[in-house]
Amino acid sequence: MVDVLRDSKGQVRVAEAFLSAIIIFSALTICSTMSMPTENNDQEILAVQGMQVLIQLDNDGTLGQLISQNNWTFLTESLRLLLPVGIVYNLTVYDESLQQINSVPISNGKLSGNIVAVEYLCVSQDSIYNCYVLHLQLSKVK
Amino acid sequence: MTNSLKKARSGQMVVVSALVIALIMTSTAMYIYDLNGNFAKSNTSTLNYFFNLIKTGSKHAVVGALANITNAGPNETLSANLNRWKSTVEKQYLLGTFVQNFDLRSTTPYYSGVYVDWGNSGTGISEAYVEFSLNVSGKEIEAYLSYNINVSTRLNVEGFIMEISSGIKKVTVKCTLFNDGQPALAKSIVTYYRESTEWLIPDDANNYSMADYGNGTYCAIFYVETYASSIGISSQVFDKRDILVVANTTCT
Repeated sequence: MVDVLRDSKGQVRVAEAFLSAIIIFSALTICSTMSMPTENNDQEILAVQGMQVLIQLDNDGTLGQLISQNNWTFLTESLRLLLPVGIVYNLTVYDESLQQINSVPISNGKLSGNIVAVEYLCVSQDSIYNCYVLHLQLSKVK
Repeated sequence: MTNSLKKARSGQMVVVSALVIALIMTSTAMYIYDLNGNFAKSNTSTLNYFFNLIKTGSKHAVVGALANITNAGPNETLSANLNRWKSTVEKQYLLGTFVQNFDLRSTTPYYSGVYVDWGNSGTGISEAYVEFSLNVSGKEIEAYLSYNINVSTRLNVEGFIMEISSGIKKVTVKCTLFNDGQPALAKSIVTYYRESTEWLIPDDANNYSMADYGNGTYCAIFYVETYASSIGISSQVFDKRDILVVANTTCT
């Protein structure tokens, strides 16, 4: 009888240990799920940086002016200077009917890893109305 | 007896401890997560940036239209450009439904959102005023924004003449340019003076010189052969945005 009791006690211990393990494992799973946004957050920061640079360039009409003049060299340099070091970008400029305008790549390297895309609309201050759709891709150098 | 009770409860203690540890871990993770402020903020920040670029784009569209209108373009350019801008914006917004409306100010002295006064009072005004409203509705966002875009280029011209010798007069013309109420630099300035019925541009023969004070103030000096006691002056200025403004005055 005593042996049977001892046997069942052992089973209960195993069950309790199993339950404890499940609880800890669940907590770990929940924590890891919550920490996931860190990567998303990085991507969001990257997107915000890209957007801020485009807004900064567009504020005084420089962006539209550079595109209207097809001054891709200056645009490439401006983006390289304004974006933080360690960020690779590739900008594609389209017209209103989504035809690509830039004849040369506006980029500072090859994108790799997690790529973030930012879309921007730019109107030039020219007396002839021109609207451009900008597609900026960004990634961090690994 | 006490020992066996302790032994019997030790298993429960393991479960309770695990539960406590799990609670601490999850609450810490939740706190950190909350501090990062990741809860559904991404859409809001995307929308904020979108609003920002819409406002910038609207302003550029108005500037471009005003440049066109002041360079002999039709008044309808403003509404035509804004309609194209509205259609592009509404097409490109992908997070839901985006409706942009605009209202061209039509109360006096504006006509179709534009006010151009190049009179003889010494002040010239080229101005456009548009009221915008944006409505966004999406899965998680409902937003409304209204803003006004007022683009203005104002030129103040004042001048006086001084008799140097019989029939020779020194004309001094001071031009002050303002963009949206702030002193601004000009892209080009042409000053005309009136001789009988003709408008002439002073040149080297008139010893023409122009001083740029770097703060939106320009001073032109030239000499004219005339016996008249007053000279009509007209200054035509293009600002850096290619908006033309003209101001006329009479120098005495």
